[in-house]
This record gives sequence, structure tokens and C-alpha cells, in this order.
Amino acid sequence: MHCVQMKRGMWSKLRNFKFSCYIIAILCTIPVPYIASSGITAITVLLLMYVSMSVSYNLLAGYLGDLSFGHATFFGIGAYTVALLTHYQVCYFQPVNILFGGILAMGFAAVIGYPFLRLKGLYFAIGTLGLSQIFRVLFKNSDFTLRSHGINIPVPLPYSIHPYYYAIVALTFGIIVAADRIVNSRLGLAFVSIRDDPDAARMVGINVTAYRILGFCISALGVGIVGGFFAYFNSYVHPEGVFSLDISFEMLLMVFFGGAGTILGPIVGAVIVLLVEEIGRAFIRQGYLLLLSLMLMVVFLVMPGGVVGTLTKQTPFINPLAQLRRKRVGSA
Amino acid sequence: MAVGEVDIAVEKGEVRGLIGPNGSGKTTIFNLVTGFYRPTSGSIRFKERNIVGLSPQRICRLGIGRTFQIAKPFHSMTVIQNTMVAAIYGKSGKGEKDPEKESVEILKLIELYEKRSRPVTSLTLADRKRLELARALATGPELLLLDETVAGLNAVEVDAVIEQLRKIRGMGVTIFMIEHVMRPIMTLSDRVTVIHHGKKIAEGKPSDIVNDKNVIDAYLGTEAVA
Repeated sequence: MHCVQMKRGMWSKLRNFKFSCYIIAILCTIPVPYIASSGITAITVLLLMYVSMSVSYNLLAGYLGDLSFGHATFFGIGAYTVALLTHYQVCYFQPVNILFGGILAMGFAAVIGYPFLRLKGLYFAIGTLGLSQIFRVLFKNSDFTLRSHGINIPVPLPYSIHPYYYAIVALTFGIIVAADRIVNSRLGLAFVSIRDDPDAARMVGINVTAYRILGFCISALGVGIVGGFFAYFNSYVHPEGVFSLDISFEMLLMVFFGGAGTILGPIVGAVIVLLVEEIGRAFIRQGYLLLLSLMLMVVFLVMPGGVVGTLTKQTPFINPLAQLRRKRVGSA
Repeated sequence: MAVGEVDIAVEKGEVRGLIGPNGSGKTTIFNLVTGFYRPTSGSIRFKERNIVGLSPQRICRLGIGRTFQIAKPFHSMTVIQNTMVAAIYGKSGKGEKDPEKESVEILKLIELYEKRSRPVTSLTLADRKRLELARALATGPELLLLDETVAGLNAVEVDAVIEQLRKIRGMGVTIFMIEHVMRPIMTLSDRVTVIHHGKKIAEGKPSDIVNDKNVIDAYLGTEAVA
């Protein structure tokens, strides 16, 4: 796909740098299960899950500028797909189930995309928030999904974290590479155009609604796949856990605190949020949520570009408040 | 009702001015033609085809380009990126597939080439208006709707724009332009349409319009601009 950089020389240098970063990062992650304790390895798995979700969500919220407050919906759809397929003994093959979870999440996004993405900023946020809660209540009260008992997914014994670990490593890098390719393609250009000025985007030939739905679906796919993985890793799925507001909020925070609209931003955000959570949970237990809320306020008030956006001034700011206040079409 | 009973026909290849007092409905007409508003009655035809109900992006691809009165650039991007978006997406189906080369040519024509790698947030007003024009042009339009392209520009800048519009017209593009500044209207237009309270009150050659009593009463005042 054609990229928009004009300075050719600089671009190939940058690309080599990026490529080396990827290689180094992969090499760093590979030996972890062998040299670190099981606790650290488990946290790394959690971190990689966070990174995957964050990078996927960033495509919608950071690049397209559509702030969904209920992306846990897709996480839950992915998780429950795996859980139900296993529980009802339809299929035991993990990769297929996880992939199917992602595809179902994406399919659902495609179905509700059209009505939802015609809502303006704040209403889209509230609408998606409501959606996640509807799912939570539905799944909690349905016998088919075993109500609030949740679904147990049998773990193959003897237990080893290795397969889970390497699966999430592959998944995370896959998602990062895919996101990078999308963002630097014509599609990414269209996304940013829509974020910057939807009316101008329309006037230069971009079908804004169609691309919004596409962004919605792609981000749903990523988050759904992570949800499916979570079902296996956690070996237990229940409505409060997977359709929770916490998960939606975490995704939002990771992207915006780290730096929306950049590749590095959501990764940095995921690391920071995970650290705050784990350390916070150790000292002030449930109070860690308060810390997260404070972090979000800091973003809105002081650094709309997040950590990466503020540090590297060349990265464009994306102001979450402005996105929420966005009005709709055709001002005269 | 912002615009009622307006009957305007713009010929291919002409430069048509659209003038009238503030609030008379000029931009509304542009919004109707480009699909941002939907008319409650009547039809809008472009190249023998009724385009009422089509989306703005569809209308853009059919060959109508438009600038906005208050410039709306893509503020995260550079000048050339803005132009390339238009060249990539606005040209679908019109053949010629080198957006980068086309963008460069257009930027040279509009005299923005030197600033092509600058972020648009660093541009002056005149340059932003130029970018609006460049972007609309990059979609390869047959009809260009220009909304107050020279508003707020000084005399030198206005002259530059007039020259650029002459060249654009020479490329075969039909131009329909809203202006309050009379000089481009007088020097470029083949004909001028005058709107007042959402209705057409006069139409004809610039020299005739300037002497039309209705137009003078409604808009120009008794000292018509040279």
C-alpha cells in the first residue's frame, strides 16, 4: 500500500529502525517463561492482553476518533463464544474457537455499526456503554449462558503457562503489525481525515459512515480475539467479569493516557495502566480504580495527547473532550 | 426557509459568480448542490442527472468539488497529505492513478509547493484558503464550487488567486463562485447571479448586474466597486 511520506530517505531509515525494534522486542519476550517466575510470566501475559486490546481499540478511538465506551461488549462476545463452544462440546480446538470469537464480535459490530455510527460523539459513547450493559444483563439472565454461575473451561493438565504465553505473544505482535500496516495505508489516511473533519472528508470523496463501520469492525475483531484468549487463560467466564465497565474504561484509559493516534501510545498506556493496577491493588485494593480515574482526568485536563503525544510534539494531539463534543453534518 | 424557488443553470466551462447580502442563501445553495442539505422540492441536475439525495462523497466522485467558507483542513496532516487524501479518494473512477504526482502539480499551481511538508496548523489564513482550493482541485472536478475564496485576503493575495482561477478555468473546469469581494467577480465571471432572501433577483453579465437597480438596492449600494 502506498504511504504518504515524502522524505524517502528518512522513511527507509525509520522503517529499518522500526523493524529492528520489533525484532528486539520479540527476542526479549521469548525467553521470559524460562527465566522468570510464574507470577511474572502471568503478569506478562496480562500485559500482552492489555497491549493487544489497547492497540485494537486505538484504531477506532485514536485514529478514527470514535470514542466507544462499551468495547467490553466485543471482549465478552469473544470470551463467551469460546466458553459456549467448549461448554456445549461443539469444538475443542483453541485457535478455531478464539478466531471464531473474534469473527462473531466483528460480525456483531458490522450489524449494529450502521445505526450506532450515525450517532454523534457523546451519544455514540453512551450508546455503546449501554450496549455493554445490555449484554451483561442478558447473559446474566439467560440459561443458555448459564446465568451468573459463569462457564468453566477445563484446563488441560498438567498445567503449563507456555502455550498461553507464546500464543499471546504471537497474537500481540500480529495485532501490532496489522495496526501499523493499516495506519500507514490509504485506509489510515481516510481514518485520520474523518477524525479531523468529517464534512471535509465527505467532500473529498470519503464515505465516512462506511469507514467508521470498518474501523468499528476491525477494532471489534482485535478485542474479540483477546476475549477468546482470555476465556482459555482464565478458564472461567462470567457476565460481570467480561462485559464489565472496568474493561471498557481500561481500554479507553490505556489509549488516551498513552497517546491516542500513535502506534506506541497504546502500548505505553497499557504498560502504565497495568503497573498502576497491580501496584495499586497491592496497597489500596479496590482503590486502584480511583487512581485510574485520576489518570483519565489528567489526560482530559492537562495532556490530551497522552504520554507519547505530549513528549513527541510532532505527534498530533487528539483531544478526547473535543471528540465527544463533535456535532454532526453540514454546518452552513 | 433559507432558499426558495431558485432556478439557476450554470453552463459548462463558464465562470459564474454568485453574490448577495449575508444570509441570502448562497452557501445554502452550495450545501444543497453538494448533498449536505436535501431540498424539499425541485431537482438539482448535474450533467443531465438528478443528484438530489446523493451523499456528498458520491457527488464529489461525480465531479463536483467544493471549498468551505471557513477553511476545513485536516489539521493533523501536512499540506501535501491533505491534498493527497483528496487525490486518492476524490478521483475514484476518473482515471489517472498517481495521487502524489497530481498533488505536487496542483500545489505548484496554487503556489503551496514550498510549504508542502508543513503541518496545516502553521499556515496563514491565505495559505489555508489556498489549501482549500488545492484540495478541491485534487479531486479532479468538472465543476468547482468556491465559497468566498478571497475573503480576508489582501490585494496581492487576491490577485494571485484570480490568476490561479484563470489557469484553472483554462484547464476546462467550470467555476461557480460565491464572493463578497467584487474584483474577482468582475474580472473573471462570464455571468453573475444575484441572490436575496433566498430568491434570485438578477442574472446576467457583470457589467449589467452592477447597473441593475434591484441589485444596487439590495446589495451593492449606489457606489458600485470598480
